[in-house]
Amino acid sequence: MFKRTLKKITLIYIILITLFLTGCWDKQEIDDRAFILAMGIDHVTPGHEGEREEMEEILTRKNHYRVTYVFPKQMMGVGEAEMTNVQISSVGENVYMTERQLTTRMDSELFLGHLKSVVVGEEVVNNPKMFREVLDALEKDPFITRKISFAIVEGEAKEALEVEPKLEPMTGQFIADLFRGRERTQRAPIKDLNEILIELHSNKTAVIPRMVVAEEELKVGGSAIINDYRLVGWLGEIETIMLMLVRGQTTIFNVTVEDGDVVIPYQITEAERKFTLVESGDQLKMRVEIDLEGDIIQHYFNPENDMLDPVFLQQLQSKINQKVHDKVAYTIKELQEKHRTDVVGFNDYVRKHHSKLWKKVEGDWADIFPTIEVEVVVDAKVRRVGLSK
Amino acid sequence: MNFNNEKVSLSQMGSILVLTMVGTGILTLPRSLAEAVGTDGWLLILIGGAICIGLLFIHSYIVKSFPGKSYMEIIACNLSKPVSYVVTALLAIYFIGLNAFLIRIFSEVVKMFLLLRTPIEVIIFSIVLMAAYLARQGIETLGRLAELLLPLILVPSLILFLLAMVGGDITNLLPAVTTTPKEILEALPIVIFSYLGFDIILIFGIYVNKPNKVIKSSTKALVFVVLLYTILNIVTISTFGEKQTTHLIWPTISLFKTIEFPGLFIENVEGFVMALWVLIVFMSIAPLLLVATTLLGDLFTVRDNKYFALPLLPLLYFIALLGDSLAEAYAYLEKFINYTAPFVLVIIPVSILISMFIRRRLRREGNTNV
Amino acid sequence: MGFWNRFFGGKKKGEDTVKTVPHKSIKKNLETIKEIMTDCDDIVYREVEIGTQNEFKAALIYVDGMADKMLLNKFVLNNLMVSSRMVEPNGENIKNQLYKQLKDHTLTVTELSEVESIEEAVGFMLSGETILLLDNYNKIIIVASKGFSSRSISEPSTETVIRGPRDGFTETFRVNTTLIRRRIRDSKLKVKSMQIGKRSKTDVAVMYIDDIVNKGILKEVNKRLKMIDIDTILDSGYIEQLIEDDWTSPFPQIQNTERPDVTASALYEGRVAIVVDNSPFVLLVPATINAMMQSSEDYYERWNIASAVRLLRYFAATISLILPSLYVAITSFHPQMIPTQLALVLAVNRKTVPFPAIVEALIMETTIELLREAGVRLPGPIGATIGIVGGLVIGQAAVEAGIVAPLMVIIVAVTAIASFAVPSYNVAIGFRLLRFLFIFAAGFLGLYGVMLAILLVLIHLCSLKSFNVPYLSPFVNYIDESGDLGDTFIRVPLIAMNNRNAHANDKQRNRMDDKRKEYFGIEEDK
Repeated sequence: MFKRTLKKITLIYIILITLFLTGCWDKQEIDDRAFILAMGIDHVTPGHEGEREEMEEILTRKNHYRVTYVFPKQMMGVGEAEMTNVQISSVGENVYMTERQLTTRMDSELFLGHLKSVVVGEEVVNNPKMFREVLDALEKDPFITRKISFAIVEGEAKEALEVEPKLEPMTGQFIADLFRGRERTQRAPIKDLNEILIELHSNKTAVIPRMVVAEEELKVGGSAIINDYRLVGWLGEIETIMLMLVRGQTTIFNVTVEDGDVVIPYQITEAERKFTLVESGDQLKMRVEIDLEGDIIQHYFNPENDMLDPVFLQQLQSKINQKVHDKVAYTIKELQEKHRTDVVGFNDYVRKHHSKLWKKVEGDWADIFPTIEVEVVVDAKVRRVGLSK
Repeated sequence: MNFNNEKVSLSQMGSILVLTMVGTGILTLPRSLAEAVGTDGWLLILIGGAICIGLLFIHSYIVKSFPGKSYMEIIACNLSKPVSYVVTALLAIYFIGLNAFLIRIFSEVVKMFLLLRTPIEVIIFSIVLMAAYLARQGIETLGRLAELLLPLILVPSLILFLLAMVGGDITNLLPAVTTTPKEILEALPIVIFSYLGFDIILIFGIYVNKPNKVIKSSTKALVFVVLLYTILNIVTISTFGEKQTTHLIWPTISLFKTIEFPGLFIENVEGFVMALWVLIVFMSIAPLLLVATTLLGDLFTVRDNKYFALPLLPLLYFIALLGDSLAEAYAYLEKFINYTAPFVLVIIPVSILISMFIRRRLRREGNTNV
Repeated sequence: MGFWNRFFGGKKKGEDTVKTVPHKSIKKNLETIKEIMTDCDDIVYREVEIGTQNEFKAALIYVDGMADKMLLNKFVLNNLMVSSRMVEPNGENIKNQLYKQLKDHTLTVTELSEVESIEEAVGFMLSGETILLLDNYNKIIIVASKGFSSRSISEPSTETVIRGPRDGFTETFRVNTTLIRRRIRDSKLKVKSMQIGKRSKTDVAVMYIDDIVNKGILKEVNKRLKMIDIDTILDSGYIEQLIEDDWTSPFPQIQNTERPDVTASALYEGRVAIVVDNSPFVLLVPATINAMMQSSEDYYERWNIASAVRLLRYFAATISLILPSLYVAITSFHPQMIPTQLALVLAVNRKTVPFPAIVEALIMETTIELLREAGVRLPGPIGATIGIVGGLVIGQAAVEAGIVAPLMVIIVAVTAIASFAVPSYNVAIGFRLLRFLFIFAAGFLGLYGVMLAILLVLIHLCSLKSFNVPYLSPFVNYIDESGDLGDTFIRVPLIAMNNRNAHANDKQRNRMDDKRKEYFGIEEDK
C-alpha cells in the first residue's frame, strides 16, 4: 500500500514537472514590457505628413488611424535609473492593428494594463463610425481599466502628447493627474471612461472633457458635446461648470459677484440640484432647482458693509442667485438651441421618474428636448465669511 | 464534533449549497436579467428565489423522509428499480453537462483576464484536475472546505459590493416594477438557472448527519443566496445602469474592476477579485463533480463511490470544449438546461413526493384494515 | 506508587520472546544471565553470602553506570551483609519466607518487586534496576536503583517565551512526567506507560485527564501505539511519524513541545500527551493547525495584545507561503495588478537581471534556506552571525552584481522572517517546502497558478485529520461550534473562555463558571 502511494506521488510529481517545463505561455518579464501610460488616437488622411514608411501605408487609403503611444523608457545610468518619455506613432486600419505594427519596431511589448489616459483627436469624433470603433476597442480590451481618463483634443491628439509637461516628465501620468486635479478647478467635466461609456450606451450622447494644446502646455477645460456618437460642438469652461452643476456632478466651484466695484469670489462647497417635471402635456416644462452653500473668500479691506449683517448677506445671496441662474439658463439654452443635445440629464430623469411619459416621447426625444421650457431656481446660501469681518 | 466518516454537518451542507449556487449564478446574472426585464431584476430574483425555495422544500422533504438512503435508493423504492437506473443516469448526465459548461465559462474568464495566451485546454485541465482531487477526498473534505471558504469569499465580496455602491447611483434602479407578468414569466428560467445547484441536496442528503433538520438549513442557505443576488443586482445596476449592464459580458467582474481604493497601496483590486473569482467558481465546480461521481458510483455499484472522479476528467474536458465560441457554448447550455432542468428540479421530485403520499395512504389504509 | 505494576500492564509487547523460569539454584541462574549478557562488560556481578552462617548465596547484578551505586552500597549490600546477621534466623521457615523477610525487614529501598522470568529481569536490569538473585528461591527480586546522570532542567531552546515558566523537558522520562504531574494535581491525570521498540524497549507514557479526554481519541492513540513494530525509538519523532494520520502530508499532524506548561494546558483541553524516554519533546494529539499557531505566552499576556499577535502570526504564515510566488506572478504575468509607480520602479530594477523572475526567486529562496541550514549546524554564536552576515552581504552583493532585483531581496527577507514568526517549527518548515511549490505554480500559470496551489493546499488541509479531529478545526465547523473561534486568530479574554474545544469530552466542555462576570454584574447593580 505504501509503495503504491509512493508510486502515485512520483507520478504526480512527474506530471507537474512536465507541466511546469512546458508552460509559461503568458510569461513576459516586467522589464520586457513597455507600460503605455497615454494613448492618442487621430484620424489621418492621405497626404498628411508623417514618416516615410507610414506614408506608403497611408496611400493605400485603408489606414486612417494613427495611434500615438507614450511610455516611459528606463535608461540605466550609472547606478541610478532614469525614466525618459518616449512617443511612438503608428498607423493602421484600426487601433489594434497599429499596436501589432508597432511591435515590429520595438524591443519590448506594448502593455496597456497601466494605461492612464486616452486622448482622441477632433477628427475621429467627427466620424461616428471611427469614434464607435475606438470606444469599442477600449471597452473590449481586458487590460484597459474603465477608470482611465478620456479627453477629446481640439486639434490632433499627437500634438497634445508631444507636449513635454514641465511639471511631470511622464505625459500619461501628467494627463491622468490633470484629471484628478479637476476636483479643485472644475473647468471640465469629471469623467472617466466608465462614465462616458455608460452615458453613450444609454443615450448615445455624452459630454467629454476637452483638451487644449497651448505653447508647451496642456490644459483640460471645457467639454465636447457628443450626440449620436458625433461631435456636435464645444462648450466653454464656465458653461461646462454650469452643465455639471445641473447634472448634479459638481459640488465645488467658484462664482464671482460684484458688489459695487468690488468683485467678491464665492466658493461653493455644497451643491444640490433637483429636477421636477412641471407640465407634461404637449409642451414639457422642467424646473431645475439648485441649492448652493458656500463661503465668501474675499471682500475688501475695512469694508463699508458689515459682513455679518444679514441684510447685506441677503443681498449678496440674491446676486449670486441671479448670476448662477443666468449662467445655467444660458447653458441650457445653448444646449437646446445650438447643440440640440440632451446632456443635461432630462431624459434620464423622465425615464426614471415618469416612465409612462417616457414611453411616449422616447422615440423623438431629440426633437422634443429643444422645445422644453426650462425654469431655473437657484438658492444660494453664504455659510462662512472667512476670518475677518 | 464530527467523528463520523462520510458525514457532513448541517452547517457544512448549507455552506456547500450556498457556494454551489453562487458560483453558477454570479457570473452573468445581472446581464441576463437586465436584458430580460431591465431595472426590475431584483423583483425577478425575489420571485425566482421564492419558487426555488418551494422546490428546495420538496427536495429537502424527500431527503428528510428517507434518512440514510441515497437518491437512487429513494427513487428505486418509490418509482421502481428500472426507473431509478434511468433517472440516475440522466441525473449524472445533467450534472456533468452543467459542470462542463461552468468549467468552460470559468476558463474563458480566466483566459480573458489572467492568461491571454495560455491555451484554454491547460486552464480547463488544471481546474478539473483540482476538482477531481477534491472529489477523491470525498464529501467530508468538501464540507469542511465549504465552511472554511464561506466567510473567506463572502466577507470580501460584501466589502467589494459596498465599495462599488459608493460610486453607484441608486436612482438607476428606477423606474421600478414596470415589467409585465408575461415578461416575468418568460424571464423566470434565467433566474432559476442562476439558482441551479441547490438540487445537489437530493444526492448529498444521505451524507447529512442530522437529516431531520435539513429543511431548515437548506432553506436558510437559499435565502442567503437570494439576498446575495439581490445585493449584487442592485449594486450592478446602480453602478452601470441598465443599458451598460446589457453590454457587459461579465458584469460582476467589470463591476469589481471599477472599484478604486484611493490612497491605498492597492490601486486596483483586480488581482484580488480574480483570486476571489477562482475560489467562487471552484466551489461550484467541485461539488457538481462530486455529485456526478457519487451518482455514477451508485449506478455502477462500485465499492468506492469516489472511483469515477478521475475517469470523468476527459469527459468533462471534451464537453467543456464542445462549443467553438463562447456564444455557441452559451447556446448549448441554454438548450441543455431548458430540456433537463425541469425534469431534475420538478418532475422527478414531485413524482417521488406523490408516490410517497400514495404509499403512505395505502399503508395507513392497510393498517386500518388489519 | 505502584509504579512497577504498570509495567506488567503494558508488557504485552514482550510476550513473543521466550520466558525462562528461574532455577532454584543461584548458580544456574547466574549462568543463564551471563550467557544472555555475553560480552557485555558493563554488567557488574556481585556475589555475596548472607545469613549468620553465611549459608545463603545471593548475587546482585546491575549495569554499571545506570544503577545508583550509593543506594546499592548503603541500603542493599550493607543491610544484607551486615545488618541481617543481627537477626536470628527463624529455623526452616526462613527459606519459605526469605522474600518477605527481605522485603519487609531487610532492604531499606523504596521499591522492590518480584519477577518470574529471567528475560523480564534482564529487561529491568537494562533499564537501570538491579537484579537480586537468592539461592534456593525461584523468583527474582528487582531493586529499583535507577540512577544515571542526566541533563538538568533548563529553559527550552525552541519555544522561548518572555513571560511564562522557564522549565523545559529533559531527556529523562521520569523527570518529564513529574514536570507535568506538578502542574496537574488531579487524581484524574493518568499516566499509562508502555515499552515500544523491540530492541530499544523505550519507555513511552500516554498521559491524559481521564474525564476530560475524549475516549474515542484515547482509544485511537492506544491502538496506534500498540501497532508500532519497530526495533528502536530514538526520539519522539519516531513515534510521531509512525502514528500520524497521513504520512504523505507536509504538515505535522502531531504537535510537539518542550514546555511542560504547554503540555499541561493541552491535557486540560482534553488532549493526550505522549511522553517518550530520551526525548525532551512531548507529543500532543490531536493536533490542529490552530494549536500549532498558538504560543503559551498568548495566555499569560493580556488578551488584546495576544489577539493582535495571533493575527500577526496568521498573517506571517500566509506571507511566508505566498509572497515570493506573488512576486513571480505579478512581475512575470500580471504587472497591471500593482500601482503604476511601483511597476515602473520594478521594471527599472529588473532591467539588469538576466533571469526570469521565477529563477530569481528560486536563487534567492535557495540561498536563504542554505543560510538557515548552515546557521543551525554551526555552533551558537557563529550560527547567529552567519544569518546576519549572509543575509546582508549576499543580498547586497547580489543586487550590486545585478543578478537579483532589490525588491526580491526585500521579499525574501520578509518571507524568511515571517516564517520564523510561526511558533511551531515543524509547521514553518512545511510552509517553507510548499513555498517552492507555489513559486513553481506562479511561474507556470501566474496568479491562477497561485490560486490553484492555494486550493490544493486547502483541499489537502481540509482532508487531513489528526486522530479523527479535522486538522483545520475549528475553522471548518465554526458555525456549529461558534465558541471555538474565540481561541484562534484572536484570543478572547480568559473570562470569556468558558468552554473547552469541541474535541474534548462532551460532558466536560465547561471549564469555568462565570463567577467573575457575576461578581462584576452585582457590582454594577449596586
